[in-house]
Amino acid sequence: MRLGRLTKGIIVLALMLSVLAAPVFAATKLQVASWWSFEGGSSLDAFKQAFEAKHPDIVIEYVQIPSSEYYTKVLTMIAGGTPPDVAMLGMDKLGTWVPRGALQDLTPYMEEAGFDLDVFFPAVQAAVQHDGGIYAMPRDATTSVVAYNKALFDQAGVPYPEAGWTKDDFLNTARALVQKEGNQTTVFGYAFDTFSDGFIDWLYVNNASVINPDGTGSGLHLPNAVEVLEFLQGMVKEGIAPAPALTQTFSNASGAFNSQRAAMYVTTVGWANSFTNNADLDWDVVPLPTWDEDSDPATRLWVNYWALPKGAKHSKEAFQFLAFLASEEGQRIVGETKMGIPGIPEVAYGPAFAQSPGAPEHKTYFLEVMDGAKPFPLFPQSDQFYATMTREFDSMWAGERTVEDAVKALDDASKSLFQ
Amino acid sequence: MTGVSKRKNTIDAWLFLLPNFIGFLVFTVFAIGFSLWISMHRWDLFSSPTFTGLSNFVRLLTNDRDFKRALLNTLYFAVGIVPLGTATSLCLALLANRGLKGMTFFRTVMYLPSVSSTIAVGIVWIWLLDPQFGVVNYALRSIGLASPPNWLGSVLWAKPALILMHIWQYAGYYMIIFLAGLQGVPEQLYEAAVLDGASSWQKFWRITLPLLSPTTFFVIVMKMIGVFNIFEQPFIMTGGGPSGSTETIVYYIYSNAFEWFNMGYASAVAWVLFILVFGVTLIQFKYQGRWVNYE
Repeated sequence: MRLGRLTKGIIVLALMLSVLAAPVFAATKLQVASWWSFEGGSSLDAFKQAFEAKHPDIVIEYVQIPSSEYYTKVLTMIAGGTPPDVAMLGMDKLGTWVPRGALQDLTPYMEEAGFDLDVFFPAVQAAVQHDGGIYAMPRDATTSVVAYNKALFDQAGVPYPEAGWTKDDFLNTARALVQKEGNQTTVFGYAFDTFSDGFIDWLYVNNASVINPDGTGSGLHLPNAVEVLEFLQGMVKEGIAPAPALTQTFSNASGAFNSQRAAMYVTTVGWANSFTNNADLDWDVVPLPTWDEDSDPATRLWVNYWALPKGAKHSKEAFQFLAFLASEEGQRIVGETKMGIPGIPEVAYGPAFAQSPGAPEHKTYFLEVMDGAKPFPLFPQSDQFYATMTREFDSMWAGERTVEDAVKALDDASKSLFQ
Repeated sequence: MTGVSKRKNTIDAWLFLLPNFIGFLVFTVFAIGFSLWISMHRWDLFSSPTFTGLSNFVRLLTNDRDFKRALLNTLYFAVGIVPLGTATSLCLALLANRGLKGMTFFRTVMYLPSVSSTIAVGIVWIWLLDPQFGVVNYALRSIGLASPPNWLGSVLWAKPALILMHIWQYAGYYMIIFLAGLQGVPEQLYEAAVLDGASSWQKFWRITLPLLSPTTFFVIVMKMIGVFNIFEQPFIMTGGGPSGSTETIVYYIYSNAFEWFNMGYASAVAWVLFILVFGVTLIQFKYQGRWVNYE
């Protein structure tokens, strides 16, 4: 077969182009799953720009999955053998995904790269370890503190709270902040959500948890936990805090605080950032109260993760990305783009977070309480346990059931989960 | 046709059928068979399935109060939606059949919700039923009801609220089916009844309803199957709450399969649901002779 000149020319040109283009196509594409937007100017975009500048042989491709279906989708991708190379995870998922074998232990990659966990806050170091392995790198961390509306305190003539207060001080303060017009409450003293996130800090304050100390069943029927639930239910009954149905009309309890309908709210950094964006809000933060004068201060530590799914195609390159995200540079981006608290103390106490401009004035409290912070509980049955808890507690929060009755029902209903 | 061309035609026919047939085998026959097999196993998608015999079925029928609650919730929906929904659609069809001005527009408006996305419709209804700012409670307050229900947040009212929304959403769809049935009723029967001095009620009761019974039967069967499969409305509007009061069987299957990854157990629940729907449909067919008139 004889080829014409034109055909030969095209073939030669194509070969040349393919040779020239080879370095571009040789780049490893890392698929990174997250529920966050990765548009220009976002935190994820900042990570991509900075990482690719240092690693021209690796291209980051984000896959955004809506948060409502994120975990189902990613877990199904892993089970189906087509996992993303890197996945963003909330802290609670480490407890359910590691026992399933859905995540890779990062220890060998860390050893090879000489990566040391010591750079992180001790609480963050503990939070990435589970079942004897290291299964994630910290995306960011957060503790909880009490956010309070200074203007509403001034209106009520109540002094601003100070570190070292107790839960009785808290209750009296919240009670004094309630404002009414006729029978209608216009300002509540405090607002909280009735899912686990909304009250777990109070459990920690009274040295309780959602599961028992052995991890063999519900811990919410134990005396300290019952005290906490009765304390919170009491505030709803007394009208200091809005009932769940009313809270829902603000979207959630943070919405009640943000719209100045609640004077206090236990906040994480994520919600605090939404308050910072509200120019009408004059607010600050203070550590959570202790349960009484003898008890130690406590708060919950929540860490968001980057993890390496089992079966990821480019694990080695993916770990390079993880190491970058957890590095000083990556954690500085975390602080600057307001994702949360950088996991490295030197970065967290610097201009990226603690010394950054804007409210709250005392944002260092988020860091100072890190010492007493207890990690969010991780256990394999958590998804089903929290669903059962919501079912049994709905009527308790609505005031249609006693705490004793609800916690007993939860204990009974969840027994089979722990067998 | 010669033997060769006949054989060729047969082969051609099979070749045309093959893509669909393969799809049917893989996505229907295999999927159903696999779900039956997996219902006798414990499987979380990651580890190998562990054979557990009939224990999933025994547990859900004897020792699973969440399944029992989901079953009772589903039956509540069936009792609420099937008769009320059928009656509503029939009333709308009778209205639409009167040939009044603007009926085409009326039919289109009534049919619209059934072709709208349940997610979009659900979100609109969440706002309508909002206890503080919702239109429904605003209307109730304006007629003097001081404390209208917290529709989606109350154990007592969440199911009626979903029933109301479901009936509204599908009323137009079944109205069209009834309308087709109504237009098949011979006009002479009404004329003869008028000559005999029958009232409007007597015409409806003695002519329309009996001659519409095959359509009514079809509507009831379809609605019953639909109600046993209710999922989107509670998923969007209540998340199965409050206190699990709107969790249906399909919602329970979804939670087990895709939230907790108990694939074997979810499959067992799905098979029990299938047997239930099949049984109810069978009973309906068995007793249709007593009230359905095909003449």
